[in-house]
Amino acid sequence: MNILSVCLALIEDKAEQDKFEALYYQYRGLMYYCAQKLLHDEHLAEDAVSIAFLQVAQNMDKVDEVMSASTKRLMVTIVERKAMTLYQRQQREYNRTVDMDEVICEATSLGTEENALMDAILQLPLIYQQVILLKYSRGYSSKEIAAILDYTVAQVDQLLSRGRRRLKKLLEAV
Amino acid sequence: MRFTEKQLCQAARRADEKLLSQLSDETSYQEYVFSETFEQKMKWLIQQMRVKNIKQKKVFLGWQYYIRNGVAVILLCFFLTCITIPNVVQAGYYKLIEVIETVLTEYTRYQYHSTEQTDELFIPVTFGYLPEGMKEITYRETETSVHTIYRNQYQYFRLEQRIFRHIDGMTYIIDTEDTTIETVCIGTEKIQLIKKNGVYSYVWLHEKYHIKGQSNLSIEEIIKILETITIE
Repeated sequence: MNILSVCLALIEDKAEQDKFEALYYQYRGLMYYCAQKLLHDEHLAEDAVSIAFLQVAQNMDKVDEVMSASTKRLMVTIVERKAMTLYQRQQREYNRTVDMDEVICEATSLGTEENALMDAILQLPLIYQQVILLKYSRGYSSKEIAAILDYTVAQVDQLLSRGRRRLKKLLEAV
Repeated sequence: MRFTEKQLCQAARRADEKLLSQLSDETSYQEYVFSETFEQKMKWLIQQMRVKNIKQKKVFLGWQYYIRNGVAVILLCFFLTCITIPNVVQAGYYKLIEVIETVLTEYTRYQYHSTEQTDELFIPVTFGYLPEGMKEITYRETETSVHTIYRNQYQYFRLEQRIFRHIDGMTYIIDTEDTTIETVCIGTEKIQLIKKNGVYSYVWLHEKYHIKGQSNLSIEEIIKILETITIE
């Protein structure tokens, strides 16, 4: 529970400490699973989880109830973001160029026109999908998204803009 | 295919739900046991964290944000400048007028012209009335002018009379800063009386003569003296 101790030190409020502890026990397994799915490396996945919990500790004001669906998605989003960062760093170390824009979370075929927009969102590279879901599904502001995902506000705005453009392109291809 | 913000929000929520449903099997996640290496790494991390005073992470706006906002501010300033320049010019114009008026008010220039320009002989003024105790202490006369001063213990009256002869006009600059100016009429002629620091200066175009002077007498006394002047 060492990581837990570190993170608890960041949370002054007792209630928030309890909440963070609950989050840790509730979601550490899920977060590891998500990180492992992207990284295919146990050690890197563990690193991603630990860094992600530090990020959570720094953003406790943006976390809802422990057992809520939005919190679950938030925890996954954060760990996926950290996993992406680690993946990118690892690729650089091996002198391999990697375009993180192309890391796609789930391959989903486009369905009916009614579901086209949803499917297009699911087909987006993870880097765009995350900011679009945080913004349009969960209603976070650019500043909040920047804090959650460790971007600058300008980067978040740029990703949102590019993400919308990509969605249009995907929809035009239907 | 175009989409609105509302459609995007709806689609994003559904996409979020779909992604969430794919994470439903939570029991398998709990089975994982974190490695010893991981735990040791965390111990080292804890020590590092304890040594450092860790603060909540700040959000940075990013250089793009500052550049974008900077450009926006510059454009806004340019736009406002374009709008306000005519007003500025107008304001400057009014300011210029104000300055000119101030200069004119503070240093009023009186320019006199006389149609009575003549080659007649100069005749000095004769006083019909002078306050009690006033005696002549200075008198200088030329072919075209006279300069005289009367005074008693505390008061004085100075007069300078000049005939318009070989000049077609006369400019007389009076410092009118902090002054009050009164105009009184004697017959059809106007006399300017400028008061400053309790002293009156007067200017009077009387027939073919230009009469000016100074006095610390009251305005009533000055007018009375000037009214009783004769040139014969």
